[in-house]
Amino acid sequence: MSDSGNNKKRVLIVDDDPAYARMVRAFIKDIYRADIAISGEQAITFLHKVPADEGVDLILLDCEMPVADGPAVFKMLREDPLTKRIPVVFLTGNATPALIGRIMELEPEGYITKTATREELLGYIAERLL
Amino acid sequence: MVRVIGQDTMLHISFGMAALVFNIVLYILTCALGTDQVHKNLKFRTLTVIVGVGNIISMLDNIFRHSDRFDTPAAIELLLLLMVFLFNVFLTYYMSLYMEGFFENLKYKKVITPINQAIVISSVVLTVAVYIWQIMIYKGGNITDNVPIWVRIVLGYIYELYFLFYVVILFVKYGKTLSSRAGFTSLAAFAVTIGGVLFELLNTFGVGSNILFNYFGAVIGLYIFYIGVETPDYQNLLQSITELDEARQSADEANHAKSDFLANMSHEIRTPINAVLGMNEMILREAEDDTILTYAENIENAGSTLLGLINDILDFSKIEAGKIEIIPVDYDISNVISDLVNMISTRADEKGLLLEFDFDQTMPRYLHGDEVRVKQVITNILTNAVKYTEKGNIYFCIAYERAGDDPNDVYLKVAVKDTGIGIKEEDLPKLFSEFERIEEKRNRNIEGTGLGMSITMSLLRMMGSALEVESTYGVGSTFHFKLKQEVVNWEELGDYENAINERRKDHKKYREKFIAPEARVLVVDDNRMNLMVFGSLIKQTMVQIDTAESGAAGLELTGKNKYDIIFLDHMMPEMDGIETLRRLRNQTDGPNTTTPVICLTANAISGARESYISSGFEDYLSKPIDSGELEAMLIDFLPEDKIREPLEKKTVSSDSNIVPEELMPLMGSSIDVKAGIKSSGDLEFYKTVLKVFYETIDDKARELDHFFEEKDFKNYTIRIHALKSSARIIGAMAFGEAAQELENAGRAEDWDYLSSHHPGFMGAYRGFKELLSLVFAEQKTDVGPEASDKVMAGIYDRIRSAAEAMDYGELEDIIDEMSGYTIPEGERSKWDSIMSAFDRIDYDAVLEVLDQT
Repeated sequence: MSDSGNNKKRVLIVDDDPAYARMVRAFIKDIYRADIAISGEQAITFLHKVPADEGVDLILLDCEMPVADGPAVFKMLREDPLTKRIPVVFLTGNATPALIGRIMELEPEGYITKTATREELLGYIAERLL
Repeated sequence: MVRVIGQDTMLHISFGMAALVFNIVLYILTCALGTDQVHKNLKFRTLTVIVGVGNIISMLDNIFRHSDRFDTPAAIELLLLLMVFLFNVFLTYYMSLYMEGFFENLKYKKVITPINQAIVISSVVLTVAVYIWQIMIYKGGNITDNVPIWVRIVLGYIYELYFLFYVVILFVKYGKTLSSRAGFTSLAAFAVTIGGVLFELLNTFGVGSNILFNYFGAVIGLYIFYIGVETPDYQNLLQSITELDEARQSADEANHAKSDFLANMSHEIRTPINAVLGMNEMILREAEDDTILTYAENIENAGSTLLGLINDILDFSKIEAGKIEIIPVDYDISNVISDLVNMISTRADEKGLLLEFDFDQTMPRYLHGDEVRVKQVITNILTNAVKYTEKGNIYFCIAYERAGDDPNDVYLKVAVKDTGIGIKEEDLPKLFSEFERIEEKRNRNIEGTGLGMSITMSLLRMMGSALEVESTYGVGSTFHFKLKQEVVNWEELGDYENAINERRKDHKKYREKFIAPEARVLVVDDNRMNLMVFGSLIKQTMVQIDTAESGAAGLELTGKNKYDIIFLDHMMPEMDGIETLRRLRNQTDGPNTTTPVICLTANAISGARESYISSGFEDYLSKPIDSGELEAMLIDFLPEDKIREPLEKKTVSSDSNIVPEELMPLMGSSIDVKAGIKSSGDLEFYKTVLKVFYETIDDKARELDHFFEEKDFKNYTIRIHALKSSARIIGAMAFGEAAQELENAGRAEDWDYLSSHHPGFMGAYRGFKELLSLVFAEQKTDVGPEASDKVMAGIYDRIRSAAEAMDYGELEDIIDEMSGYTIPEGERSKWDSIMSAFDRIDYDAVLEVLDQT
């Protein structure tokens, strides 16, 4: 119970690669309460399970996932009244201008490349969660 | 009507037949030797046919209409006249089509082509109409004399002139795009052909007729075309050129695609490397086994090198793919110089190279250009110089000259000269080619992709400059370039080079050791850790140190003892440094009224020195204290007779580059161990300081929370100020920065900032406890007791509810907890299944495993 039940902000990491998700969690767990979902479906199930008063403050959403990719999951999140207000930051391994353009058209909170270091990631999240 | 006088019909027949034969020969030539693929050739063949048909018509016209020998029916005579007109329209029209083929990318072709076609059709319609009309109103006599003059002018001149004019316009507008051969040939041929056509037309009026031109003009024109541009040789050549061009284009495209691929791949490669390095960082932070830590450190070194190489490739491929842009901004050249000097000094020092700087003092300081790329270019050249120089020196010069053409532009002249291995003349071209490294064998121990110089060159080229090299093999090289930059402000750079040289010299001078065992100094600081650091930093000088933890305690000591120097912390609770200094000077009967007092401060902003001196201090030292600066201060302010040469050269025991095993868990964490060891003087001391930091976390955190909740800005700021110093000493730089921000906010009583940042900051602060416990806490036992059935049942229940809640953190905690136990034999396979599901973060699978039994 080390990182629950206090007033840490809550971040949900959605990435189909458990190793990467774990790494991100390890990066941020000292400062944020971080949960992991390895698919869009799991993420939405999770978001419905979380009690309203402990709601997720930010979602880090991987762009490249099988079945439903990041943009698809994003659309699902936006259509669901329960999740539509949660800010989403995309994680992308391949930040080509075309992909970034496609992502940014969805008007997410932002995007961050998977090459980001721990400090960059924390700084970025901290900025979004002010 | 005026008849052709003195011309025999036979003459017309022989001229006409001769012209026809020439035409047929030309046609056969183009068929037999032509290059059918080229569309112009097909058009040319058609043109010969039209000219031939024209010749026949003209011949028939001359024989049957103009000659008296035949009594030609009126209907045929009219037909012949109109056919002459019509075929001339066709000829000029087709000529214009043929000429169009010489030019590429005609702008208005889409509009002009239908207009031209409509005009040709209208001429046909008009001819038919005139023919019917004239036949209907024919009342005997010479039918062609009755044809009104406007018909002759419209059909015989206006249409033809329209197409001729169109061709002339084409030449005027696009003539420059033609090769001179095609241009001259077509111009000459056009003139001759048109001459023929015009004479032919004049002939229909019966004036100025020239039988030679009449029949041969067009044919001669066609022969000129044939020899000039339609010969198979020339067409083959053109075709080869086209093919080469296409080949080049597709090669360019392939190259571009390759660069794109490389740029994308580098990114793809960088992502997993980063993951590897990131996970490795976690190992370095969390693992306790020394062997594993050594392995992980090796991974880190290799990984960082790899990342550097990939970044090089990425940069290069971005340039290749045209993805790098030059982004000019206003910048201060002194910042660039300062960064470059700092960067290169470290590297040069490591290799024991001497650095010489030469920066033009009158150089304008504020410029407009792409600062990042300018810096990257010079950095590449400088690091290259250091890389390939084993001994000797590196000379780095920046000068400028005014650009002649614009009073607001200057040329930056950058030169880097080294005494490195140099480059053989035959190797010079390799320097600038991609991926090639000079003397591969000899330099194989030098890291790099071989792209550095290529990147440098490309960047310079993009900024409108070029790199120049002079090199003597075995003696050294000079790299220099001239780069145009706009001047924003002509303020001069000033004596920058001296300032830098001075600073570097200072550094060296004070490295010489001294001792002063008779000297006695007092250090007053509310932070006990600072006092310890201070003591450690000057331990080698054997100076006697007294310490006090508050201004009041310090004043008590100054009343009793005579000191050579007093170091006063600025920020202290109750009585700060300035107040303490004032009271010290008021101790008129005390022994220290004239003792030099140095201020210790963490707020080393520019102008600080002046303000401290005006407050009565002799000088100030910024924290974290640099041992060199502190020793310099001692030499400056201690009485000279107390300073001595060291008795014997003590070997410096602590190498700050070696991190001892017990501190390995901190590698890669937010605590920079190397910086910490450096700022605290030696390793043993660093460990003490670190331990104090670790042990006081709980108390101090409670205190800070208390002041925060009470909104006691003053005490909060003072405590956080002290914490900032401690953080910097142990090497927790980022944490120190955060403390600095909070301190600023506290001083400004910025409650908004404090309330939003304090909790996170405290989280990080308390987080150090966990991190440092890796160093200081007792070792855990390796194998725990076997878990009882009851324990397992409880654990399964907890895992189930955690998996149902999809609570990753809770699951991880439970599994961590279980690592203290040995899993009973009977539960092993179930446990392993749970672990494997957990590894995949598959909550459903975890529940499935639990449900199976």
